[in-house]
Amino acid sequence: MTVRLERIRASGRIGGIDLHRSLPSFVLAGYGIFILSLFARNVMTWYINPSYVAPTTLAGAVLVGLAFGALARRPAVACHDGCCSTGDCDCETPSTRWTTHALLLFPLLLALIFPPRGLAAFSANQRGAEIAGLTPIHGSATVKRVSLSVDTRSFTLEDWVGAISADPNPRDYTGKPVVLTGMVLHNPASVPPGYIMVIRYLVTCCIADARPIGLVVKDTSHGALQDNQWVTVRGTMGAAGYQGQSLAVVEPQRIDLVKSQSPYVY
Amino acid sequence: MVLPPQAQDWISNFLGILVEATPFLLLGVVLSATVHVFVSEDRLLKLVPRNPVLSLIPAMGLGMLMPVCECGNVAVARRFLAKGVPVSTCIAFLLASPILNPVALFATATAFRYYPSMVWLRGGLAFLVAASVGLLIGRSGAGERLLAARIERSPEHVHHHHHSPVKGQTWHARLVSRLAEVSNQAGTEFLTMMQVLVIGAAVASATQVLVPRTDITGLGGGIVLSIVAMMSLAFVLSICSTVDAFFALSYSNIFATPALLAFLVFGPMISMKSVGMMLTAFRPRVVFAMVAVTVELVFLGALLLNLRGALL
Repeated sequence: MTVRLERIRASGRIGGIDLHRSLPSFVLAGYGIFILSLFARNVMTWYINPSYVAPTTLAGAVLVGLAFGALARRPAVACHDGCCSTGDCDCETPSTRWTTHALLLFPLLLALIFPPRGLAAFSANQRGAEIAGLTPIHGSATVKRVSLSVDTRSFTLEDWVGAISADPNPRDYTGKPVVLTGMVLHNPASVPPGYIMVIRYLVTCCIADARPIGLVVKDTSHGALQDNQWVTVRGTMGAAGYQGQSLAVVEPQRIDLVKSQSPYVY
Repeated sequence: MVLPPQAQDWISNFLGILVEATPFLLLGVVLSATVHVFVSEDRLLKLVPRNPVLSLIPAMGLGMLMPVCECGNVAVARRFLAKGVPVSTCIAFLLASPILNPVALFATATAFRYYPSMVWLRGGLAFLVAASVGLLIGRSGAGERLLAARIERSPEHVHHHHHSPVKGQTWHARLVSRLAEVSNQAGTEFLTMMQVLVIGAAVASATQVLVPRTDITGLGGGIVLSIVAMMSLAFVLSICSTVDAFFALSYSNIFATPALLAFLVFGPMISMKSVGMMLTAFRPRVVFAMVAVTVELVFLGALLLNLRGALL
């Protein structure tokens, strides 16, 4: 086996395929196919904002096109010592850096082995969850501001975050119906005792800039709920005293475990 | 396979950065390859004034026309360098174009609707810093001595010189031939740039996972530390300049405008992602000098604004 690998390394060929010339094209095609597969499986938004899906998919198609173009190109004569001394030649020195290709193939291997998965509660604590009503959540271009004359049963978590950021006074919301779905996060340092957070990640460009935003919810499970569990909370808005101020909190009538889903909002 | 949450989140961040950067990187290498094939060195150099100060004008102007963030402009800057455009011009273009392009400025105006001056502050400080760094580095020596060796001896380099058109070849055939050359060049450059992007994305993701963001932002709201905190955050996060304004806005309740400005100017110029890419164009000592001077100038610019606000 080792001897065979050494022969391949020395000759740069497997069967009739010239690896030195073909491998860069395969890597290009690999990136293109990876991106197109994300689009085909409708999971690209697990990595990037939906606004970028179209240009990214186009980029994937272009990469595949470039790869085919490179493979279809008539192979140039390989350069040899001194052939370019006249300064007028048309030869090609192909890449021989296996480590380079290994580096480029590494992300594709990761993508192949590990399917897209949402950021966990761990990242929310690393990045610092922003709690509606406790700190103003700026970024009004991305966090909607919603009028409370609307039936609040249709409000999503981000709608509530936007509304409470615009008007943090809990008295304006007390008694309003709430139905929201999100990921459970325990953060005793940031919320009153006996309360949890239900969060999602607000994404601007890609998940590298994702910010965890959420609401404070009374923990009627008495500690049974765990981080990373997905729940749908049905209840009403209330208020709780915390750090010298009155905080808008959700008082649940029921909390149901639901299937985990994409944690991102845009 | 079940991984610890830290490892899984690192993978998600890492792949997210690569997916997000790909279209911009591709745009940059296609533009670079197009310049390489269709624009001769003589024609390009005619557009650039010999005076190092005046040469900054086409650099900035070109940056305003190109909607690429830092992932794409390094490839273009490399191409200009290889074509013999003065180093000061290339560096100014490299640093300024991610910020002075119309998409980034429009995003800034949208995010900071409540403070429209941020657009002018961002553009103005970026112009001054890019021009200063370009002039300073450009004075330090002949262009070739500053260039990365790999630009000349890259194993992917095709010894293909521009030949005179083949007799009898139609314009259509010549165009197809040149487009094929653009395609080949773009593919090669994409792989070259992607190598460093992979490393930069890996490091940036690791930092996000290992270092709590609050450790950086918790450095404080002081006149000096707030700027240091936001510049450090910008370096680590490596967010694209077309959207970083919205991210910076989220910190507007913690940090004052000068610290946010430092984030918006420093991040697109110097970040974990871009430093690796710059090493494909310049020697390490040149990149170090660019980083050092940019850090100082952005810090000073933001500090002056902070002091002005404190004094008034």
